[in-house]
Amino acid sequence: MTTSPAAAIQKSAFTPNIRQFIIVGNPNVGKSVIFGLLANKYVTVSNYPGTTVTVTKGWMELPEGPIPLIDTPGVNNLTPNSEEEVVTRDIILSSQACDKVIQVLDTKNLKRGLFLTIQLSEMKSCAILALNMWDEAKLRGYELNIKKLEEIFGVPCVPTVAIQKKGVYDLKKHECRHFSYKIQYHEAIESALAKLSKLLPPSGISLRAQGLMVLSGDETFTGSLREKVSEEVFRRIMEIREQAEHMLNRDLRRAIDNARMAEAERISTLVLKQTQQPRIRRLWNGLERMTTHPFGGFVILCGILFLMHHFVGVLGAGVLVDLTENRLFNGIINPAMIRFFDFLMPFAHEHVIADGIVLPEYALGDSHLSVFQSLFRFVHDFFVGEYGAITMALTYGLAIIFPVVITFFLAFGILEDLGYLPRLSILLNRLFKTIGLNGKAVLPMMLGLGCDTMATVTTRILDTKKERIITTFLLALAVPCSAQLAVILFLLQGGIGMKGILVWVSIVVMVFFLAGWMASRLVPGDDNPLILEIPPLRIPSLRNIVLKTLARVEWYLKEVIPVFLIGTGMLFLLSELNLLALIERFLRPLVVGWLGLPSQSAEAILMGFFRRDYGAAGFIHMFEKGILDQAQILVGVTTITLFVPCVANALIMIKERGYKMAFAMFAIIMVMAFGVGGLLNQILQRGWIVL
Amino acid sequence: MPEHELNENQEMFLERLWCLKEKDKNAECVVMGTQDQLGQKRLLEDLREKGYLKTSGEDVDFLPKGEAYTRDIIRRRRLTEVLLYNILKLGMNAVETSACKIEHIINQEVTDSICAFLGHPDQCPHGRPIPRGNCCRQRSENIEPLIKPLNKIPLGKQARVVFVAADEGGVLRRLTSLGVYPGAVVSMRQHQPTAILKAGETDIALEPTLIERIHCRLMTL
Repeated sequence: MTTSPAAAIQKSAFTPNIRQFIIVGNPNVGKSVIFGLLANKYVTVSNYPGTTVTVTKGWMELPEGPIPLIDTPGVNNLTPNSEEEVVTRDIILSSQACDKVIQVLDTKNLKRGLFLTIQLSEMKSCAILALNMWDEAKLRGYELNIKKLEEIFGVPCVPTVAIQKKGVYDLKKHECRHFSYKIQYHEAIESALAKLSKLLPPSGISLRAQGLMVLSGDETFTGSLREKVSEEVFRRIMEIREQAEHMLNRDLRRAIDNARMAEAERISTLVLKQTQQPRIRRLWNGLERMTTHPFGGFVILCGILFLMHHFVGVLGAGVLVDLTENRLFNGIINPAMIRFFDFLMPFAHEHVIADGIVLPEYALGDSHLSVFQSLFRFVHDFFVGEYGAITMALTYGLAIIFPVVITFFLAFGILEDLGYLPRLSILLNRLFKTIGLNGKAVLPMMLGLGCDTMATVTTRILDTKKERIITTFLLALAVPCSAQLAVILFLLQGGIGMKGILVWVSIVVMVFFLAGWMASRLVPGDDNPLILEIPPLRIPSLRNIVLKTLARVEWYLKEVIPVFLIGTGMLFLLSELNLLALIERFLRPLVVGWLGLPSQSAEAILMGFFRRDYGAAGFIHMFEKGILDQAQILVGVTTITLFVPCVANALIMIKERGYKMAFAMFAIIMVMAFGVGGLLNQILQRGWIVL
Repeated sequence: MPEHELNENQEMFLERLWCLKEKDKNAECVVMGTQDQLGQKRLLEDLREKGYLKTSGEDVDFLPKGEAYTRDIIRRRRLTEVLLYNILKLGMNAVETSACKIEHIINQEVTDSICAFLGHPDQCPHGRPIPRGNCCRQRSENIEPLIKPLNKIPLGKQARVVFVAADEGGVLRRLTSLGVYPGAVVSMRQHQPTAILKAGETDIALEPTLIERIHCRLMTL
C-alpha cells in the first residue's frame, strides 16, 4: 500500500466527519443504484443519462460510524464539456486528500471508464474501482483480468452487479488506495507540466492534474485559478501553455484527450478479452432492433401509447378516480367531515342532499346570524364549504389527480427502467429538428407529461442554451402534466366527448410545434447535432420502479397539495370579502367578450394562475353544475392548458433561466393562451367545428 | 523553384502562420507568440526580405511565393502524417515527432508518390485539409479511396476511424469521450430514422451530418 504523507496525516488525525466518499463514473453505469445500496437512502435511478443533474448526499454505515457519501452526475470526461461534467469535476476538485473516490465502471465498456480512471489517477485520488455490470460483460463473452488491472493502477477493483446487489457490499470491505500509475505524455507537454508544477498553488488534487487542466485550456478551471494566484504568476502559467502549444503545433486539449484515450484503449485490451462468442438472445436483440426501426419503431411506439392510455387513462383516470372521488371522497370522507363540522360549529343551515349524499352546498335556515354563528359559519366554510380545504382542495388534489399521477409515474418508470426513452429520441429526432431541438429534448418533454417542474430542472441535460430555453418555454406552454391530463381524461369520461378531446389534442400539438418553430428562429444560437448514448434494453426491476414511483409521487404531492390549499384559501377569502365579484367584473371583457364564457369563469381562470389543472378542475366543477356548455368548457380548458403550469414551475423557470427570460416567457405564454382560446371560441361560435 | 531553400526554423514559422490562417487568426502578435519575441521577429524580417511574406500593420500575410512554398510543406507534413498513422499505425506522438522532421527532407517526387499510394487523401489524421498536388489534379482513373466517410461503409461492417472532420471542438470532444476518435473501431447499426453507431459496446445515436464527417477505413478480416 502506498503511504503518502497525506495518507499518514489523515490516519493520525482521523475523524469520520472529514472523510467522505464520492461516487464517480460515466453516465448510466449504475452509480445511483450503488449509491442507493450503500447509503440506505434511495434516489431516482434511471436507465437514461441525465437523471442525476443534482447532487445527492447520503450516509454510509461503516464500523467507524456513518460517513457521508456523495452521488455525482455521470461524466464522460473530467475536463468538462457540459454543465453536469462541471458539477462533478468541481466536487472532485474541492475534495480533500482524505476523501475517497468510488469509481463505477461499465465492465463491457471498460475503455470509456478507464478514460476517467486515468484522469482520477492523475489527481492522485484515493480510490476503489467498482466493475459494474459484470453479468452483462460475461453475457457478451468478455473476461476481465482483475489482478492485472489492480497491478496497473494500484487500487482495488471489485466486480459488481449492482441491480442484483452482488459485490456492492464488498466495496465497504476493501481499503481505498492511492493510484500508483502515471501516463507519459508528449515531451512538450511533460516539460510544460514540470514548469507548471513550480507555479501552481497546492490543493486537494495533484499539481500534475492541475497542470493538465491548465494545458487543456479548460476555462472553468483557469477562471478560478486566476483568483488564486498573482497576476504575474498567472501570466507565466499562460505563457507556458502557449509555448507548449507552439511546440506541439496543435490543439493541446485534443492532444491530451487523445493520449489518454489511447492509453485507456491499451490498458483495456491488456485486461479485457473476448474469450467467448457473445450469447445471442435472438428475441431480445430483435426487440431492441425493432424499437429503433424506421417503421417498426413507430408501431411499437403506438402500441406503448395504447397501453399507456389504457393504464393511465382508463384504469387511472376512470376506474381509480371513480373509486377515490365518488366512492371515497364524495361518498364517505366529505359527508363525514361536513357532519363533523356541522356538529362542531353549529349554525342554522340545511345541506343539499342528492341521492342520499350530503353536498357542501347549503341553504341558510336563518338569514340573520349572530356574531358567534357567523364565526362558526366562517370556520365551517373554510374547511367544508364551497371553497373548503377538504371539500375542494383535498378532493381535487387527492381524488382526481393522485390516481393518475401514480399510474403515469409507474408507466414512465417502467419505460425508463427498460431503457426505452432514449429510443424515442431516435424516432423523433427529425421532428424535433423543426423546432430547433434534437432528439435528446424528448427526454425532458416526456418527463413533462408527468410533471413540468421536474422536467424544467431536467433541461440541464441539454447541451446548448438555445435548447434549454426552447424546451423550458414549450414545457410551460404546451406540455400538459399528469395532473392536467387527469382532468382532461376525466372530462373525456363525461364531459366534452371524444371529439372535444381530439380538438384539444390537435390545438395543443399545433401550438407546440408552431411556437417551437418560431422560438427556434427567434432564439439565437446554432442547431446542435444529436450525440446520445443509447443504453441497452434491460429487464426492468420491480424494486427500482416502485421506489422511483414513490419518490416521484412524494415529490409531486409535496408540491401540489400545499399549492391547492393556498389557492383554495385565497379563493375562499376572495369570496368571503366579495372580491370575487369585483375580479369577475374586471376580467369580464376578456372572459365574457373574448372567450365567450360566463363571468363566473373568472374564478376558474384565477385558479388556473396557481395551477392550470386546478383551474381546469374549476371548469369541471362549473360544468357539473350546468353553468357551462360543451363548447365553453372546451374553450376554457384549452385556454388554461396553455397557461404556465403552476407557481412552482414559474419559480423554477425564474431560477433556471433568470428573471428577464422567465418574465418574457410568462408574457408570451399569457398572450398565446388567451389568443388561442379566443380564436377557438370564434371558430366554435361560427360552427366551423361542431362538437 | 529549388526545394528547401529555407532552413527548418523558417519553415516551421511559415507552417505556423498557415495553421493560424486556417483558423482565421491573423494578427501578427499571434504568430509571434509572447516567447522569444526577438528570435521570431528576426525570422519574420528574414522571410520578408526573401519575398515570402508581407506585413501591414498588425497583419502578416503570404506573398505568392511564400504561399506556394508553405502549401508544399503543409502537404508534405500532412501526407506524412496520414502515411505514418494509417498505414504504419504508429502512435500519434511518434507520428507528430517524425512527421515534423520528415517534412523538411522529402522532395516533390516522393511526396506525390506517397499521395498516390494513399489514394490522394484530402485530410490529415487531425481532420485538417491536405493541399492538392499535381498528382491529385492529374489522376485520371478513379481509385477507390482507402478512407471513406462512415455513411459509405456497409451496415454492420467494422471500420477504423481515421479522422473526424469537425470544426467545433465540443462535438469532437464529446465523440472522443464516447469512444469515437481516430483509431477506434466502429460499425453502423442503422441509418434511419437516426443513425446508430456502435463503438466498442456503446451504441450512440448520431445526427446524419456527423456520420458524414467521420472518415473510416474498412477493416479487412
